[in-house]
Amino acid sequence: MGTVGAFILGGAAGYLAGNMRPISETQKVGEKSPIKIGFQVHRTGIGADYGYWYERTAKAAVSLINERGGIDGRPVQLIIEDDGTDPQRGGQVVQKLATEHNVDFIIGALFSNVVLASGPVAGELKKPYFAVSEGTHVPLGMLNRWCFQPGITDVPGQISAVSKWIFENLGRRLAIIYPDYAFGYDHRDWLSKAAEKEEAVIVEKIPIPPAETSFTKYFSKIPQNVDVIYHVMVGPSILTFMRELGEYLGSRRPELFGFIDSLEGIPLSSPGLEYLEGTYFWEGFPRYLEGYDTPYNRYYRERVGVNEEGAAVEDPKKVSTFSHMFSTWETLFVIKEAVEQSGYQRPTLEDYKLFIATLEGMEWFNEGINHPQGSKRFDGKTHQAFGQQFISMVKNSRLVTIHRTRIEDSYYENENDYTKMSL
Amino acid sequence: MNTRHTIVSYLIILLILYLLQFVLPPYPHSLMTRIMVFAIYASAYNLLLGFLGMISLGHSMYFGAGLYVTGLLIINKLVDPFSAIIIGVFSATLLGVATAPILLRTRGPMFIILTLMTSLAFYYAVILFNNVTGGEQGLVLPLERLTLPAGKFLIDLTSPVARYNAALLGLVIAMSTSLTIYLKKYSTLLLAIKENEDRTELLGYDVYRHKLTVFLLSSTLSGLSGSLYSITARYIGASLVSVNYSIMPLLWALLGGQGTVLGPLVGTTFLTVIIDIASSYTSSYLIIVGISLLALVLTAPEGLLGRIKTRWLRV
Amino acid sequence: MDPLSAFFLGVLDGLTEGLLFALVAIGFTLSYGILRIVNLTHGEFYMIGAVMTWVLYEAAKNPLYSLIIAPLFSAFLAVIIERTVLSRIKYAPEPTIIATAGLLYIIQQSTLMVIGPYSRSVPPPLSTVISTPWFGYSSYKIAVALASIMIAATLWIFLKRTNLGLRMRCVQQDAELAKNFGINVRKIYSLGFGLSAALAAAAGVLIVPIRQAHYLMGFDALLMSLLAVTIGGMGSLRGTFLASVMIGLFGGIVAVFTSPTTSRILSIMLVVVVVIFKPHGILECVKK
Repeated sequence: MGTVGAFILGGAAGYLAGNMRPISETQKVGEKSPIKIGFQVHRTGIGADYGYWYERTAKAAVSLINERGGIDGRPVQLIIEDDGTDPQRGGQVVQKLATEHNVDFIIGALFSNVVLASGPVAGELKKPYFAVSEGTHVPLGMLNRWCFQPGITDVPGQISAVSKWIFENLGRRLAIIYPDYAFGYDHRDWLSKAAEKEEAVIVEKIPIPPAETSFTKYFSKIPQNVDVIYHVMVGPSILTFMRELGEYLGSRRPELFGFIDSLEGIPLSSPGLEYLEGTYFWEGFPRYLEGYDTPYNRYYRERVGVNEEGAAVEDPKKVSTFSHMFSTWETLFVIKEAVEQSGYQRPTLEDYKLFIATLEGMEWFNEGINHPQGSKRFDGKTHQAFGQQFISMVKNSRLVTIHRTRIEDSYYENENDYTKMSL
Repeated sequence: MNTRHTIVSYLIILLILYLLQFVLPPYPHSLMTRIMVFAIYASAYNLLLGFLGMISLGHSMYFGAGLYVTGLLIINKLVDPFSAIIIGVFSATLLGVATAPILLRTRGPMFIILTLMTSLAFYYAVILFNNVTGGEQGLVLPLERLTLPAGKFLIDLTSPVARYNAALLGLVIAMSTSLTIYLKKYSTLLLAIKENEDRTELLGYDVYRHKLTVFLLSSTLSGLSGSLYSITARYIGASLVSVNYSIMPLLWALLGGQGTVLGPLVGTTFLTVIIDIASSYTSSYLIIVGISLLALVLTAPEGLLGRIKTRWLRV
Repeated sequence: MDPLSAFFLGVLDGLTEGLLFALVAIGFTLSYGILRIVNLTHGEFYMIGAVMTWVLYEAAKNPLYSLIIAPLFSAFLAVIIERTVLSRIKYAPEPTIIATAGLLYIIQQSTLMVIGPYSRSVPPPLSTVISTPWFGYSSYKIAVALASIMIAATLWIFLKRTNLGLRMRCVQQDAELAKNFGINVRKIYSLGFGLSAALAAAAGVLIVPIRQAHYLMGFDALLMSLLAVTIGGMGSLRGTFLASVMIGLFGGIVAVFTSPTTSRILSIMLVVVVVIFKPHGILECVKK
């Protein structure tokens, strides 16, 4: 029966396919078995520019860890799968990493829709999943006790930290331009909350649909009498967004405060951005070394291959996503610290319980080569890290950091408590 | 064609699918569940494509109806999962009823484009009402709502076994629908419509009614796929109703062979497995997809199964 | 901004956007008119035009050459595709859709692998901003709108006044009949497909300084083409051009008054409404 044969062949192919080995990062294999860390990367799709730098930074971290003896004496093996920045594939990739490659831990995605489709799967399969996202999904309890975000601060924290500075220094009447999805809503909602507390007012909220390529027509909504335009944008058209904003505003413009997401990966010297002179940006980790010149930052840049302007050493036009990619580096070191402190050995429920209990008990990640962005305070209940935020001003087409917030500035109220969930 | 022959082959395939769950290792097992859920969608799509020759680029709307209605009912703790599925499927039917008068007025390229437009509108509506739907980020279905006590037992819809069999059951429903149409004289009538609508109309048949029937079956089953997806993946999000998910069932159905009952399943399996293998090896798996599609169209334009059908067997 | 200026800005912006995408759209309708295929790869030629412009700019610092080279390259690629793939599958509707979908992925992903996932920009040749008392507007955008009109007009003249154009129109009307008249239909198919790709690429070249070149940008262009062609009428050049402008205008104005996502939905609803009342397009010309 031809069809039956065809189907069996298909099934067999599927079975075999499921058992093949993928490309992975193998370092020197010692006598001890490697620690396998699955890595869900946006290699293609709309997050691909971040994905490239995430992968590069993670590999650099793994290489450093292995040079220094690995985790608990065991070499780290990074197993990478492309999720295509697609939630459906994201969930599938988590399944594959957990049940096919039998990894010990999974480092996950940046885009929050992928995280949201992946976290539940990780929870079901009982595999620790580390988001590297800035989203509120982990801290606000949308996921489960197996999901963590210790390597990067979240949007509510970022806004809590910088909003007061904005109101005090730039003005109390704002217009906000943001993407019309969750990441954007986080900005909208948390800025609104902050404004209420500080007697500032958001005069106009302008959401832009995802994957929009032309923005001028929306700018007419910006009211005349605002002190500050607060902007954050993501996607391949961010340069267009910034340029058209400049064209539209012309010479008389209010203050501008943007999140560097609007310019991640884009050189400040790009034509059309001259108007940004004298405007401000939040940075998660200053693109220019001079914004936060520490020996750790220097060494981190050296290992990842990024120069003092935040661009790739081999191609200065290739600007990195510096404010976000450190998350993979720091997460890997958090995993290392937690494994070594807890005595985790192998992927069993008992070991994971130990690991998670230890991680939830950790309060401080100290600044150092493990955490070059700065010290982090970790909240074991919400599984979220808090850190310093940077405010920079554009001067001579460079970003000059003018303010660093204290970690305490970024705390916000959060009732969520994952420790109440059973594992 | 030998009816009994066909039915027996079909039953054997189903038996194999059922037995497969006992031999597959964990990852292929869960992969197969996802494949089967999407195969339901592909089969539903194939009703329009294979029997009536209508290419829709807007089926993500009906998939989405099932996905969102079922998902939101469960998330908001309104009904139990089984009712949620039924209501979700029914809402897909309703959406089909609502859109049919607009869509079925057109044919050929206009139909293609119009279906694309309506599903785009659906996508943007999902984003617009994001405080309910979760928009692009999406929403997670809570575990607690997916386990039901039933007398002495606990039905756990989150276990791999439950998921696999739920998907399989859905697939049986979808493929049986296809098979029934295929085997009865109805398919001949549909073929006549496909070949020349006007002539069939002239012969006295109520073409619109027949198109509507198949269209509604197609949208209903697409909704079933969406409902089951929300439960097995525990996630609903706008990306699942994007144009991409309107193009995929077309590819799945065409790849497998559009005139056949098993074609959609074969196509879905093939493409999903190819993508899965490729994504481990290259940094750009879609290119493998593109090449496969091209190779297929050049060597076997009737689809994988269609090829086998013309060469060796009638199924 | 006061409503009147906002309206004016919306009109201007919508118009320029509509005019630019009109080029892509008429390319699409050309390939439908002549070859009777729905070409899903069309957006990728637009993307190739944009990407090549960036590549040439990086290499030679003069983007003007790309206005000639990129469309030629796209036309060349299109002809190869037509000869090797499309004619083999005999332009049948379903195989063409799969084939062009496959090509879409191949071209897109190849571009990703070659130039990477970044958005690449090119400085506009004209960087002056026309400042009105109410808003600033890029002079380059206006230049692009004018260029688009010029290119479309040239195409129109070509089709109406030249011998080759005449032959193309014959094939568009009735390929079978054209063959009987001794027209080399195969050659016209190739040329027509090449021309449609060249138009898309030209639009891509023009738009790079305003937007960026990104490997995923083709999809939007395809969508816009489909929209325009639905309203304007498949195969009707005038209708498609007008429809594209209308859609752009409509989008621009609506966006001023409602939220962006709502304006998108409204634009789509507009299309649906038009199709209900005029299934063959606003100018009612399927074969023109």
